[in-house]
Amino acid sequence: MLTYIARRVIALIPILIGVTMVAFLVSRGLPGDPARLYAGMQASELEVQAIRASLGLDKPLYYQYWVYMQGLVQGDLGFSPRTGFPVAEDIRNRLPATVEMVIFALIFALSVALPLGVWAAVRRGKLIDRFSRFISTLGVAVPDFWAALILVMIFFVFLDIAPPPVGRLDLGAVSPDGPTGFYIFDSLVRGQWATFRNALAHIILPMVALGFPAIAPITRLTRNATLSVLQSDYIAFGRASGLRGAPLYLKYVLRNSLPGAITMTGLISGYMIGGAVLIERVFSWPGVGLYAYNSLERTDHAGIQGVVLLSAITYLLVFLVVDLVQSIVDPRVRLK
Amino acid sequence: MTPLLKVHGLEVEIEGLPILRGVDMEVRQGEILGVVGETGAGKSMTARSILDLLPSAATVSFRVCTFGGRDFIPAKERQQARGHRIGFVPQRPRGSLNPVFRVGTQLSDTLRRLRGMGRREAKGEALDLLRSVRITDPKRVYRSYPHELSGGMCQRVCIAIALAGEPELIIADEPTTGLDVTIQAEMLKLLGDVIIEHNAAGMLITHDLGVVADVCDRVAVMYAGRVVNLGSTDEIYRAALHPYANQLVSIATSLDSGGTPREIPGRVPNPGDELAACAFAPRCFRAETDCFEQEPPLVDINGQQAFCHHAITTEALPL
Ligand SMILES: Nc1ncnc2c1ncn2[C@@H]1O[C@H](COP(=O)(O)OP(=O)(O)OP(=O)(O)O)[C@@H](O)[C@H]1O
Ligand SMILES: [Mg+2]
Repeated sequence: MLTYIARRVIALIPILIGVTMVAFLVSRGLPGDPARLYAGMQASELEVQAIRASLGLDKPLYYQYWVYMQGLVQGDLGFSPRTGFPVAEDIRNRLPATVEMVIFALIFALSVALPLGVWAAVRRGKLIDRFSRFISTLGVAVPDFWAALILVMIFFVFLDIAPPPVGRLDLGAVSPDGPTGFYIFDSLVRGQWATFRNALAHIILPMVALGFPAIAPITRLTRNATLSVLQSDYIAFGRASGLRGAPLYLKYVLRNSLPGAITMTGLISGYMIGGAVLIERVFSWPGVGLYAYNSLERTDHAGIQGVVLLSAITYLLVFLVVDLVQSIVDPRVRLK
Repeated sequence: MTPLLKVHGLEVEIEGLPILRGVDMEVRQGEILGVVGETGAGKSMTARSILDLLPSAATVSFRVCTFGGRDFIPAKERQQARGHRIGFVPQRPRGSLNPVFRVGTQLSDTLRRLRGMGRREAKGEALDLLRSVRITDPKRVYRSYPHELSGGMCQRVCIAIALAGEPELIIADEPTTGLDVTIQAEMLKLLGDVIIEHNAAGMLITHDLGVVADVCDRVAVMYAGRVVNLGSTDEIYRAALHPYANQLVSIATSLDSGGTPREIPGRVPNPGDELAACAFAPRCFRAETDCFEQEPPLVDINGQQAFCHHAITTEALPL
């Protein structure tokens, strides 16, 4: 298992080098002159030249890439003139916010989609099956940022039961001083109940907005997998041995329909990192998505490269995790 | 003595097509009843009716169905009997065990569910059950996944699962299909022994009359959704009343002695086909016009029953 993981990680290195090149070229190809942006509109051409030189932008591209890679092997993602911090530190500070939101969105999506998929298959063609199809269509038709806006409109503006979309906590609230940067987890282990409740209240709408579009594909996959599991000899034998009701469906059937849903969940969680960009904009969520958005807006080369590299790594790691989980769920899957 | 299971006038229809057309059979306490017949005769459907495991499109009706003196017509009774009072041994044992759980987990889950045992107790009992189906290294098998075991081993595990609820009846539906020919006889022998050791009765479904002789006390011969001949194995073998049963026996015995059996001409009717009054008449060497026009009467000789106008009673067998 460990050697398998090590081999997989080593195999990622050439892919990641490719990704750095693409990220590098893409960020250089963006319209906008970062030196001009930082210097400001009033600055003289000379001042802009000076800033350009200090950022190294006057050097040829291959040389810039070489400098970037030199830093990268030492874990240095470059420096962001926009924030005034090293990019690695920027990302480290923002990553927990995004990861926490994505985890909640996944939990939300799975806890709706898995039971719904199984139930729709068991009651094929009945009301619940049609309901699941309706939810699926809705999930495909409604983009996540749009869902986010609608949710804010309904639950904050009209009903006023959700907190304002101002980030992870109320304005002025103190963040928990926990070890992980996941506010809900940190406030829980520190016993800071007010903060815990506040963080929970703030994560609900982004969780639903980001998770909702994921419900559709996971439900469909689970439903179809369940339909074939229900036809299987082992479920027939289970029934003949007196297995029925919730234990039958939630332990035996679901466990056999999981593999497809797991792969899909992996794909989706990779996608969610991208989806988070707009959701974080709507909710002023201080995560890497918002960071990516701002970096793009200000043509912040180091920032953009950092975020692209991060999402590539996330994607690749997700696939590794999917394969590992797959081998745990289904003992017939061999890692090789 | 009242029979353990009594089924009378069992009819099953699927989408308007008659699948079972009045099945009558009994399983007596402590006996093993063989159910034979060509493919499509309705053997599996009969078993599934008793466990209320028919496809959802099926409608079922019994004139009489009792189990241990209890009325078994309400579907709920039959559902609750699954595992508890009636154990089931499946066809294709490998595919019948859940591929993602260890065999031991499946067996002890069954024990916990059917006998309300705790984890540890269930594990102990599971190992005992594995031993009782002659598994010599129960600990290893307990820890294995189905794909790590041979087909024969999987079938032993399935038998153990069928025994888990201490049932009074074990229904085995072609328990050796998909197994190596070399171990089929051994597996049937094991099944027969185990049923007796656990003081249960058995219903052994097979399309091979040959296997029945060693294991079964009595035989029910099915044709086109009916039991056409029912009697003790000895009687059926010696002098089956129904021409169909008679020919099945002669096929089985000539196979045993290495000869080429004479096939029964024609083919088995499908559900929905136009049937003669006696469904076997078009293929029967003794058929006369009454077979096509009038329902065959029940003939009962020496405790052997058959539905036939021209039951083979005293004459010599044609060969
Ligand atoms: N799900 C179903 N829908 C419709 N008809 C079915 C279904 N299952 C079985 N049948 C029909 O019911 C009849 C009886 O089937 P059954 O499986 O009981 O036969 P069998 O005697 O067990 O045969 P075999 O030796 O092949 O197992 C067959 O003609 C079959 O085509
Ligand atoms: Mg069958």
